[in-house]
Amino acid sequence: MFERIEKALEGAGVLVWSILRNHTKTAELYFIKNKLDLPRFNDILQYEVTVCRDAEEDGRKLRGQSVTYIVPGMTDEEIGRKISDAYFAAQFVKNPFYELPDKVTAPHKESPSDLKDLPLEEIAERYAAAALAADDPEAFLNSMEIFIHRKSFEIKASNGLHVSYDTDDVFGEFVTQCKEPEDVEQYRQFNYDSLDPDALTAKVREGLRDARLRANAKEMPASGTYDILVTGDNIPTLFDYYAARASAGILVSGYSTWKIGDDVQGEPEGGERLNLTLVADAPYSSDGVPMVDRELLSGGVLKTYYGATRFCRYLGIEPTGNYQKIRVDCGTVPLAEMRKDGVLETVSFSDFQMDFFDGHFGGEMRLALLHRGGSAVPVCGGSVNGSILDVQGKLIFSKERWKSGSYEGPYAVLIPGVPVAGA
Amino acid sequence: MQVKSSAYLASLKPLCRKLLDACLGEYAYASVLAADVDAKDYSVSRAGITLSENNRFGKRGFVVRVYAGEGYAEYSGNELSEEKIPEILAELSRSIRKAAEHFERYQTAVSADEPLQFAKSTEYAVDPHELGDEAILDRLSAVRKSAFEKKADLIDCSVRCSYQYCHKLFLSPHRDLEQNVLWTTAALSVTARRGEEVKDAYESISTLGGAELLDELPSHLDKAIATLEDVLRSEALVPGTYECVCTPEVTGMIVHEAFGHGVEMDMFVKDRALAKSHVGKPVASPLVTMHDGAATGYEDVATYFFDDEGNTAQDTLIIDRGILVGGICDEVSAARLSARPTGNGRREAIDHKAYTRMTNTYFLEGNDKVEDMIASVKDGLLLEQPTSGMEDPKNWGIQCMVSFAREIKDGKLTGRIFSPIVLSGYVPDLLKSISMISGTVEHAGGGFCGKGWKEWVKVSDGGPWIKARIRLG
Repeated sequence: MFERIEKALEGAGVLVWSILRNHTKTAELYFIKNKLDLPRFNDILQYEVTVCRDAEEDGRKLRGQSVTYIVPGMTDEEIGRKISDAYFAAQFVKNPFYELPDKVTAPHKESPSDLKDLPLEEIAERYAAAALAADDPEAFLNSMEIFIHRKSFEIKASNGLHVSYDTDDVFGEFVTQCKEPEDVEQYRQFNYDSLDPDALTAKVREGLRDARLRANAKEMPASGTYDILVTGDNIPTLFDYYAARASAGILVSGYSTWKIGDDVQGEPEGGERLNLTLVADAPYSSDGVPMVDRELLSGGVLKTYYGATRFCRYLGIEPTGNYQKIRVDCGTVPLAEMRKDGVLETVSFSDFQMDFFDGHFGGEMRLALLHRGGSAVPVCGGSVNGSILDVQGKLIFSKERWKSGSYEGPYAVLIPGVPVAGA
Repeated sequence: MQVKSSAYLASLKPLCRKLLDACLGEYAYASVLAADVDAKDYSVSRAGITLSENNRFGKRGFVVRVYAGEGYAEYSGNELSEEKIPEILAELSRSIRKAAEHFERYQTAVSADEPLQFAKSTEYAVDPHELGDEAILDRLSAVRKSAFEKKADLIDCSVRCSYQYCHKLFLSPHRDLEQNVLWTTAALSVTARRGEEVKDAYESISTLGGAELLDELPSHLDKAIATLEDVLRSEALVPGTYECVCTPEVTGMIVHEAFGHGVEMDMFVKDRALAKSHVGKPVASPLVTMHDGAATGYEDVATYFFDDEGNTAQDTLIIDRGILVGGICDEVSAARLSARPTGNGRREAIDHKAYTRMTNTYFLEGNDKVEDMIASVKDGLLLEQPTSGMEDPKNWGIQCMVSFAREIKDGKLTGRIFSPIVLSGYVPDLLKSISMISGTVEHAGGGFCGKGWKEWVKVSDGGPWIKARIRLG
């Protein structure tokens, strides 16, 4: 197919282009309780073709680009028409000129995951069996979806760039349920890039425990201001504020005015300083930029920008690609010490959100633990509505570590003085 | 003008028929859904101009579903040829066999597959293809330029447009269906700085149609800028329960997030929806009547003729004057619940499973005047501009976010603005507290709906202005 596309590009007179081939196979298992609802299999192959068209207007050098997708079954005539249409359209995309990524050629990079050694269906079966193995005296698994992805990428560009790599991952979600004393559920997602079914067993077990706690949560916290403890999967959302505001696209858009060297965490107010690293979860970006781990914040100070090639070029920095994973240094305070009287430990939200525009974070609590008199009282309902701008100098990070597919760092972050709407 | 058929699907149909026949040689039932979705996105902003086919929804391919004794299995792909058919059959056979080795199946009855045959298309006034990329981008750029003429200190005015020509073909032993649907959406957002904060306001519009929608877009700019001015002087709200008047957009979000997800009947099968035990019971004020359907009287972006399981679109009455009368249902869930499918089995794209999903969802209008509703509030808020929401069908909890609220004192807007606002509480408490409903309704289809955190489909929602008591934070 590459040859057919390149021939069509040549026929349309396209001089600057890139092609991303993405072949994804997915084995999927859907469960209701412990019974299999549906097995599915996907096999999708596509070529993302980006065509560029250069021009000059009022003495300004311009480069427009347009993206089209080529899939199996398209005739040469249709491929030629789609590429010609995209090239025609690119002349109306009057963006300032920028260079595409530098030429890179490298041998194929095989998936670094041990998942690659097993058939997709077998991986799905192992993870399903691991999840079903978790048990609890009162709670049970309500439903579960498991997706095993095997992806093969190949990137070529008109400047000779040519790289390829494979990835394997496990993604899914499950719901745990407890019927007494109140019929409730807890929702969790999971994401692994190595074969570790035991990790899913542990995660389901925690979900079962949380469903049991939620079933016994009789009260809503009273409205007021709390020191809240954000934990586990909700923590990366909190740090989205920093990652988003350091992205080249957001800087070019003018939504962020951060400069490298700025202390973006603001004045320390008794809290810990933030050390945050962007972690490469693929060897190349979608346009072929080699990706490496990059220190984003050190002691709360911005160390770099990152982002898509066009925006990085506009900022005058080397393209880095976009990142989906972060690593944060742990703190010095043990979790046990954070759980002081009056602290509201959030376990799960309906949807914990961070608005990087204005720094507001919050959501409705589906389960929280109110630490009171040495015990943790399960509570539910009510909502958190805080601003990172008000609290970022006071953040305390736990000594304990947490790892998921998109995050490595402290298991808990203590945020003092957050408004809560409750009873 | 009617949306034309897809030449690709016409050429693929004989192969789909062969695939179906091959499957029927081995299984009691099979169906093939083939799709050719031409989706394109345009945007003009300070970051530049973008023009791209949309790859999330703009897919071409097929999904074959077979019934293997106790339940279904599916294979989806985008490469179909005579040589490929035995491979597809082998993959289906392998996954069914391995599943049977390791797991007990959740029993499902086979599809009734009542005979049905039609080919239908929606209509449009201006074909986006014919209008062309240059004209579409020019229209968006003109709106952006006008925004800066009206308010020079904006950080940005981002203007977007998307369209989808959605062609689908469904084949089963007794069904042969074709539909061709075109929808278009457009939106603008304006942003300005307040210290370290960036505040924004947006307007979005949608139509079951074509690029004629772009004629409307400039008229929404003034409202977006006025909203932004308001949000820029907003203050934090003291959390509590307030008497609220909701604009139709906020009503739409409450209809969709707070209640609509709870009547998706695949959640009944999983015992994940409290609504299951409330059918026939009061769940809302007697003023409330609620519908969902791809064939309701309100045509919008979620209008179609058949769903992704080959069932005809319907208009489903969900709440009748406060009483929950039923839910919406995909085919597999209907078989498990001994119910009839309501044409709500939808997939994000061909490489996704079908779930019960909403379409065009709304409350019916009432008899009140908006000015009377505001005048009736002693000490409360007018909620505007929804931003997001998350369902909780199991426990009927509410999480909805709105951009801002206007203070109402003694029946008058005071000019004070609070932002941002989180709605929470118990759904029936909110719905039963509805005390006034306006005679005017509005619908919006600018957004997409997820099932949990994934599976995005196009939906519209809306209704009248409502007055209710709501817990806000």
